[in-house]
Amino acid sequence: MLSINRNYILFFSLFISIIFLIIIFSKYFSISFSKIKINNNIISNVDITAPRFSINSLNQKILVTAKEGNFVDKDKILLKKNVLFKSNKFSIESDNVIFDRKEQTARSENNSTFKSKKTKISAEGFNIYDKGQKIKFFGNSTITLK
Amino acid sequence: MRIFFILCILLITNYSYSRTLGETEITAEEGIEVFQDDKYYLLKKNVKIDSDKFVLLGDEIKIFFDKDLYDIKLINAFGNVSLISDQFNITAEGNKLLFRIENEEIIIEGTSSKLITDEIEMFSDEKIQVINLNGSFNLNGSNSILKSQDILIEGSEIDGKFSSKNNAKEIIILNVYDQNIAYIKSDNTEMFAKNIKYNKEISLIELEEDVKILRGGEVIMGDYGTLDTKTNSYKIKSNDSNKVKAILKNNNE
Repeated sequence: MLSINRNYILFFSLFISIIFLIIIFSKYFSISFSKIKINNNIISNVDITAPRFSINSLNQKILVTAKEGNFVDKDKILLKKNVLFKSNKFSIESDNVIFDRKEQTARSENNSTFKSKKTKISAEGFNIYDKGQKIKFFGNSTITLK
Repeated sequence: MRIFFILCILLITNYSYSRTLGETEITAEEGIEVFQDDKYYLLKKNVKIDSDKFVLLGDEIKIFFDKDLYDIKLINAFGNVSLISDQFNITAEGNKLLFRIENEEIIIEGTSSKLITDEIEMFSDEKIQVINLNGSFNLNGSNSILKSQDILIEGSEIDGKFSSKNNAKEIIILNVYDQNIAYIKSDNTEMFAKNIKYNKEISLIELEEDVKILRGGEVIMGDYGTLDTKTNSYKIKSNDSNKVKAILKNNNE
């Protein structure tokens, strides 16, 4: 009876040890994985991936998309890579655009291309204000009308 | 070797000529502002509009559109404005230029404004206006001059109408006014008056106030005069019947 009990005790303690080890390893891996994830985010320095916003006015809605975004402050976001402003009237492609969610404005000092029906504008930057009703293109600018 | 040379020239010219046929290229050194609600865009510093029909230069140009940006209805250029159109044989210069597409209206304003076509030259220190669609013209301000091969007109206000029969610009209606004195020189006749009117339909030139007609050796002065352009004869009247003065010179003397 005593020998049986001893075997059971041994088996039970082994089982407990294995369970304990599994729990410890799983905890360790989950912590390591989340650390890798955090490190990756720190390396890429991205606050928002594939951000989407919109500028709304009475007669048009401008959809703002990009590949990456970083918060500059509470309202301003720096949009990077493939930044696109698209409405039913026009589109603007640019890079490194500061978008202000509160003021509904956007500004870039990188090369920008505006496209609408039979019209193309190339400029050294742009500023969208007044809820998208006014667009200012900076620097040497060219309009091509077809 | 020759073909290679021609190909090289074609490639170079094609590369340097960024605008393709049928396109309009507008360039500005200090940007463009697009006002979608007010339907215009403003181009700043050394602006150039290059199209198949014309080249327009200006310090600043405002373009009004109808539905979309390409749908131009009015061009307003400011500062050192210059217009060259090889297609319509027009050159124009001034401080300000307005071009309305719908009625082909052109207004040039400012000191030393000028509008020159292959047949007519117009100059003014204030305003020159031509509406190509109905042929009307108006020159306003000091040093306003209209001249062609056959006629020279000077006055502070010159307005009238061109006829475009046989594609030749011919004046069919003319009103010239100058508080000091208006002047017309046509063929061998010089006319002075404060107010000069011409109507081709009745072939008559009317002269009012301080009238003076010079032809050959003759000088006739009065208060009112008419010149029949068909018979080339003229009459001078005066408010005071004794006032008409004629000076006849003998050129053989």
